[in-house]
Amino acid sequence: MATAADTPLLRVRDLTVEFVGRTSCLRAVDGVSFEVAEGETLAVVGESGSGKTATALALMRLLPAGKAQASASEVTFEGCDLMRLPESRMRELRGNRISMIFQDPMSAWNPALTIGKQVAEPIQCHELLSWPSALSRAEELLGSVRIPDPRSRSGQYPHQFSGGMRQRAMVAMALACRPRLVIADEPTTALDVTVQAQILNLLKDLTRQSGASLILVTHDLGVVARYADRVAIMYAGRIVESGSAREVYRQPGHPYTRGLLACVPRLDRPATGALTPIPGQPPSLNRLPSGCAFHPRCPHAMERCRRERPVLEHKGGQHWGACFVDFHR
Amino acid sequence: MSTSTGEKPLLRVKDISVAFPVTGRGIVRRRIGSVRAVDGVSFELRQNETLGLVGETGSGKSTTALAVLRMLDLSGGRIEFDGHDITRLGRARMRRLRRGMQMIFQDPFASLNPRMRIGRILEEPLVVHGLTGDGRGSARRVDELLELVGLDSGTRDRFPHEFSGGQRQRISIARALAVSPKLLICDEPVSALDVSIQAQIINLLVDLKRRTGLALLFIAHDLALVRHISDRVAVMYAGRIVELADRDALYERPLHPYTQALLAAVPRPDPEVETARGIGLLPDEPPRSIDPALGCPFSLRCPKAMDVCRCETPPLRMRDARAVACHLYGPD
Repeated sequence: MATAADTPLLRVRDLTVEFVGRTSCLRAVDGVSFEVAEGETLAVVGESGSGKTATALALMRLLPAGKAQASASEVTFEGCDLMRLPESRMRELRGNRISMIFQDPMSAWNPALTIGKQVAEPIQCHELLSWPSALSRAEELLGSVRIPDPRSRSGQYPHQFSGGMRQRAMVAMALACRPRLVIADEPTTALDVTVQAQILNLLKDLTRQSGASLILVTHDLGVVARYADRVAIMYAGRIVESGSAREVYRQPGHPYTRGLLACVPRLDRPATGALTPIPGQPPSLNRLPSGCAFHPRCPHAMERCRRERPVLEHKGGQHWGACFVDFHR
Repeated sequence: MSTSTGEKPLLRVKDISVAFPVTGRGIVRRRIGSVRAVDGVSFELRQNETLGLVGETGSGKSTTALAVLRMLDLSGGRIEFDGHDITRLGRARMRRLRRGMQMIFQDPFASLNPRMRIGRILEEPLVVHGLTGDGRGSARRVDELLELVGLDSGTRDRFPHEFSGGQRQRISIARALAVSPKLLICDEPVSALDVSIQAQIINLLVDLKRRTGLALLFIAHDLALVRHISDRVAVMYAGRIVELADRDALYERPLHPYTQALLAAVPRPDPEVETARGIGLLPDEPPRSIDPALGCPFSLRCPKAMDVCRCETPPLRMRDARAVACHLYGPD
């Protein structure tokens, strides 16, 4: 298990996810590459249809079988190639070395089992504890995510928990077996802003304590700024810009990133007249524009952008971008 | 119209309450109590003014909106719209008055009939309110409406599923404006849309308000958005307004501890600001509005709660040119 300091925990090269229909085939993720270092929080940002959730599911190998296909030249996690691992080995990793937190804190739970039993399940399964000791470990974990009175709460069903409490319990379950990587897909989108702050602070504290890495999938630029070390911006299935959160926010290079940062009203700036929207619509995957998928909405689009697709190139520091226009104008 | 002087408010909501019955388990579903979703809410709205309504899930924002439209029964209070007391108006007369008050909803996928072409969707309110005139008049009006919201007139023969979320929300806005209302109630109008599209719709609403003198009641949980669009803002908690003030006063100097906590919890899109900024986390979660125990409903989570907060509900009082319901701030 000796990982050299410069070997990332997770390395993804050219990940592609295709959804296969009867007549057509949609490419939801198109050649995505990124790395996650030990203990790092990477935010994956994008709008609906940008491929961020499909990327997360592909890493967990949880894409619907028969409907979606993932391929990659490399997905290395702790030295294992996740794409080529037999399903039995993958099951040993899932919920154990890699775990996932889903968006909807209601539908991710089994309504017919108590919260305690569901949190205990991965513990019993992966740590080979007896059922009673797994259950009492589950109670401890519920306490560690600050659920009041964990002993009696663990005997309750998901519908007896509020949305925020369900998501706390989800955090407890995800961290039950001390994973090295937690993938959180819009973990607080369904929650109120004060509860969101509680859950994300909790997730950040617990992953920091255990040294786990976190992939945070979100569309909220504020959440990224508060919790991420690095950020990857996705558009139409590709990463268009990535870098440290500070680099990307201080000097956004891709016109899409700039557009996103400019179009949201902000509490940290004086209220201004009109907002600056990004013109047009996000493209639909079955009618992707030629060349750079963003060119129809881009204020700087040139002839070349219509013909050729820019690849992700190093722009200095940790900053990468996929754009023909001068990145640091 | 007699009330367009700008002096009298277009909408006056006085101390309204809405209660929903709570039924017992079992077959008979006997009524065993009630929940006050809205509890003594008062505000006024003038023409060409935007009042933002913010608060968390279950705070009563949407219920307040539905009550204003009289789509829910009030259990107390009084609503005046455009000089009429509509609190107890009959269905037929209410229907006529509702021409002046229209609403757009959060989900642009559920709020448009999938079997109707856009042209018919926009004509329907004209038919309902008997404004069609001759057939050609309504066709012209549909074109006008499409242009008003920035859609091509060729879209009239298409169906809702052919449009993206943002375009559908434009159609919803056009439908609401078909009958030239004076008040437009927007309930989370952009929260279902992608970030890059939200600004388009917000700019459209601001522009329409400027051009038509509409009054907007704008409900949202996104505090930055509400600040952008509103002239005044009311913060709701557990069915009550806890603070109501001019936009800048509220955002620059929030008085109520809940308003302060709410504003602090919003992450700013700037890593440097965020590393420098500490946020005081609120304990626990918003209470269900069932059983409004005596005392301030926020006292259970309030970092500044005093003894008096747990036994006495603070009234909404004027203080520094705003209304705030908190024992920290006595009468002026």
